[in-house]
Amino acid sequence: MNGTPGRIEPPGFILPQAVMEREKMKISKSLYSYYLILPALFIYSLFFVLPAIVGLFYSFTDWRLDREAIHFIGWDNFNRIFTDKTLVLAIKNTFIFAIVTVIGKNVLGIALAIGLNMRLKSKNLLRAIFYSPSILSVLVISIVFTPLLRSEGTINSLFEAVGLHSFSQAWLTNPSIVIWTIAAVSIWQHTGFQMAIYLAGLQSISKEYYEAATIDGAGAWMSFSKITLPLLLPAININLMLTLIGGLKVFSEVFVLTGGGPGNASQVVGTIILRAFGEGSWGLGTAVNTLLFVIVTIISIPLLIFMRRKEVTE
Amino acid sequence: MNYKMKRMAITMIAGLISVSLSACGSGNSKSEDSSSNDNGGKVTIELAISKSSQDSAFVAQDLLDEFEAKTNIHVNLQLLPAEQTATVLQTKLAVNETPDIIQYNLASATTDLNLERNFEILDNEPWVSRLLNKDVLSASGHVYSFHVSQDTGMQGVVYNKDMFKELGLSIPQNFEEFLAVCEKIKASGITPVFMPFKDNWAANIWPAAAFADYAAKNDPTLFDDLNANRKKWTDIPEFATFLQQQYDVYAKGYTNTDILSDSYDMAVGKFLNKEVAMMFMGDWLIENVAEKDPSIHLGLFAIPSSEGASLGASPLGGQLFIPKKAKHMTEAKQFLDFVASKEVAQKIVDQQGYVSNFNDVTTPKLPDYKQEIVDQYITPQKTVLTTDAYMLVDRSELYRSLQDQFAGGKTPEEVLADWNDKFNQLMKDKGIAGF
Amino acid sequence: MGFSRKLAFRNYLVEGLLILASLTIILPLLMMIFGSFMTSSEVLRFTLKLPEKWMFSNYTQVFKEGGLGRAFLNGLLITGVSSIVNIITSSAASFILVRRETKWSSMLYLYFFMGLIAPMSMITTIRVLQWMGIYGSITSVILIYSALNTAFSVFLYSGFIKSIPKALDEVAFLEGANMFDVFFRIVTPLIVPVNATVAIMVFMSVWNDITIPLYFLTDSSNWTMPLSVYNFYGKYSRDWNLIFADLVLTSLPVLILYLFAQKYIVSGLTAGAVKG
Repeated sequence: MNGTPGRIEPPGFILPQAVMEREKMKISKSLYSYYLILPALFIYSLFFVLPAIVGLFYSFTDWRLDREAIHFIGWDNFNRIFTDKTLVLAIKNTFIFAIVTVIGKNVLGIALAIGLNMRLKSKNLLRAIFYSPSILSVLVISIVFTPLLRSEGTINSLFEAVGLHSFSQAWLTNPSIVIWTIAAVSIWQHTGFQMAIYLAGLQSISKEYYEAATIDGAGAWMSFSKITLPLLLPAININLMLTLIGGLKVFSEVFVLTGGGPGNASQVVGTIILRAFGEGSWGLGTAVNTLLFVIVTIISIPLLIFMRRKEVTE
Repeated sequence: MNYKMKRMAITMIAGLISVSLSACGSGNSKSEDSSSNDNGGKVTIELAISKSSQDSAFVAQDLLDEFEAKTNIHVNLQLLPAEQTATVLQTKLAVNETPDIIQYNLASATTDLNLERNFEILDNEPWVSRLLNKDVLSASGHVYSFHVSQDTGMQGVVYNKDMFKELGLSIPQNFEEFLAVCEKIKASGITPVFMPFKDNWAANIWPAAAFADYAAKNDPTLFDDLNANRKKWTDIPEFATFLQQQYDVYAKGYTNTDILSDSYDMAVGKFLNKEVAMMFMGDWLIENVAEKDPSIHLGLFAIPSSEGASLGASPLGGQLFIPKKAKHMTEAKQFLDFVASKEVAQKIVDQQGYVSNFNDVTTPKLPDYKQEIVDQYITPQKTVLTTDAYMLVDRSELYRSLQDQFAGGKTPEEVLADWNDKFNQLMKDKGIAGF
Repeated sequence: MGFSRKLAFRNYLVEGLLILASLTIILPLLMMIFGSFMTSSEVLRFTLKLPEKWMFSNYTQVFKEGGLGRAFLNGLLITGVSSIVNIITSSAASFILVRRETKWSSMLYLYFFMGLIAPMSMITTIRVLQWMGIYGSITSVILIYSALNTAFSVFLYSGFIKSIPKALDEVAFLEGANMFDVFFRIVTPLIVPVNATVAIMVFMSVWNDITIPLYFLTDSSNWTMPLSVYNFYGKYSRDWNLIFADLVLTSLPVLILYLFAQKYIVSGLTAGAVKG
């Protein structure tokens, strides 16, 4: 900023300069050798991608533990999946969970990060506190929340104590709200994780922007929407994708809190996969896994590309 | 420049590999320490067991120590989390990376682990000739598993005898009497029945015994017919009646209020605190309460689903198996020989109060509750193997449906219809004739 | 003066609100921490109360019975090495992926990204390791964790490296530095906060994992801390006080690491990058 005394440029104005840089870079592109990619590429391809791809082929087989031979059966597993009414419910639950947690974790995550990026005395302690649930094993979550969420549990007693009788619920046993409860618990646990990424993102925003904005008389909302949000876009992008993919692939929270119950009320695609494996239908389980893979890809890749474009033009 | 870069890249990759290799070195040397023969030909065998069964007599530390002192074979325990035991073992069996010994339940091993493909037939082991009851260790005509006991678990209504005495109650002989008993217990301010139906399998105790009792008395070939698709689960109206009975106990307010939040692990506490009088469960619960507080007297009576019902018997569990692909087959068999030896088996049977399965090992004096079961049910032959013993496929969907009767308001007929569909599908997948 | 007082007031308000909000985190956690000092019957009430008598012995019991010393060292080795391998390889890869704005680099980026979505396949992974002859070793587990977290780390690094202007590399290149100098001397210092963030997250996910060791470590004496909690899951009853103590001890290393890493997350401001 030294070159432009007196006036602080909002990020958008850097663009011409960036274009110039890119021109120059074309010459030196070959300087960025692909050698630096090789170690990651090697480990990732050999120990993850290769087995994962081979694994997907089991979707088209009748693979079972209790049978010696494996046969190719084409799309049969997928036909089976779509006639399973529990799966329809599971897909619905998965989407509810994903949408609720994406919104919850990101809105709260940004709010916390901005608050904890201010000059507060207890800043470091508070950061650690908000982050702490996400370092806990998911087992803790089930142990701590099951007694809290019982129908005569702590949370309902709190509601009763302040006279909000209508708020008390059978949080984990009422089939129509159980998935929402699990989503809320997940938000409780993981918002700190999102907060940490937003905090890292906020570090790269120079304080000078804000100082200039305050001098120019911009309000808090203005500096938030004109400076923070645009410059936080990489972090938002990261968190959006992580929470979306994590939400669609949800498994452990549901598994430890309800195991998909009561009945099948809180089944999600992730627990359906386990169910199929548990019943010995490994081919079928793999097929559900493949289906989940396809669903998540269809949703997240276009979003990723869209977000990346947005970042570039910003 | 290019050359320099290449050299650096190679150095870096080499560095990475050496990092992993050094880790490799430490990993291997460690596992060698414990798994092969460096101090005087010591062999280590792996015994896989669900963590929830870690109090099994076969893995007691003093027993393993004694075995090691005698044979120079070290037994290393692989304790698997209960909810993952089946999948981990299935995976390891599928890729031929098996432990040398596995503790599992014979009945579930048949449905979960493909007994015939994966496990060694033990017919020719020296201890087999001393067995009193081969059947509890056998499947399809061969001895596949090992145990010193032939004492199958019993399932029914676990009840607090002291409370029954205090309130002047007698053991109900039919469902109406059972409801009357509940009413009196409730009036005394105690919860009559504890239903921990967060664990959906707990909802299966009542029907599993009631169905089997019905079949034994009215239709002895019923389970064969179900398993051959000659009959459907929805064909037997009594099944719906039995499910309705269990629901009525809840609907009439004879249970804990939040049955879907309460889990099985709370049961011992409920009996210890004398909060509840009864529970539909197996006799293992009695043993466990007695361990914590011997002054509480619990007993077991048959699920009162119909007049004079028989007591449910669950198949024997907790047997030891040797996988065909075990790396230390000889040593694993040596371990079974050791446990089967007269002195060791006698010690285990005495400690655990087992009914001995060896002709040269004597059954100790049984605990009171067990002696009562023997006198009232086993000797007069009033026991019946529960439904579980006849099932060829995974039952968790049945448990979920049963739970749904309480959570989602499913009728007994709907529960049975759902299970019937799933059952057909699973049997078909398994390739059973008739489906 | 009025302005800064207003600012100070706003800060107090925010701080107050945040402290209030933090109670929703602290109270359930306190339940666990207090519970870890209770007797096995007292803890069953699951209420937020101070223990009647502080049972510090729970911790020594857990430490001994759970074999936590060994498990801690196993976890440290496995988690430490795989996090370091993962961080070095992923940040280097991301640097190139971001800087080379070619079709190839975009494709590779997507290739890495798909790893966030694709399911891991146990059986085939075991087959690969058997083929290499390393199944069951600690090395194999380290490699798996490095591979499993590659997608996540590359994704995170790419997002953040993008915000470092190329002008810095440009200058360095003009002054005759090679790519390794640029990456290690210029980019790496600038992404210290990101390194700290990714490190703590990768470390945490590996540390807490309870699946991979079960399938890939044949010798259970090589298992990691989180699995030790199952020692206190009995068949019939659970010793919640011991379970809580075990969970507290298991979580502690990550919490300590976070407190330590936090310093870098905050202090390593990338001011230069933005100013550039």
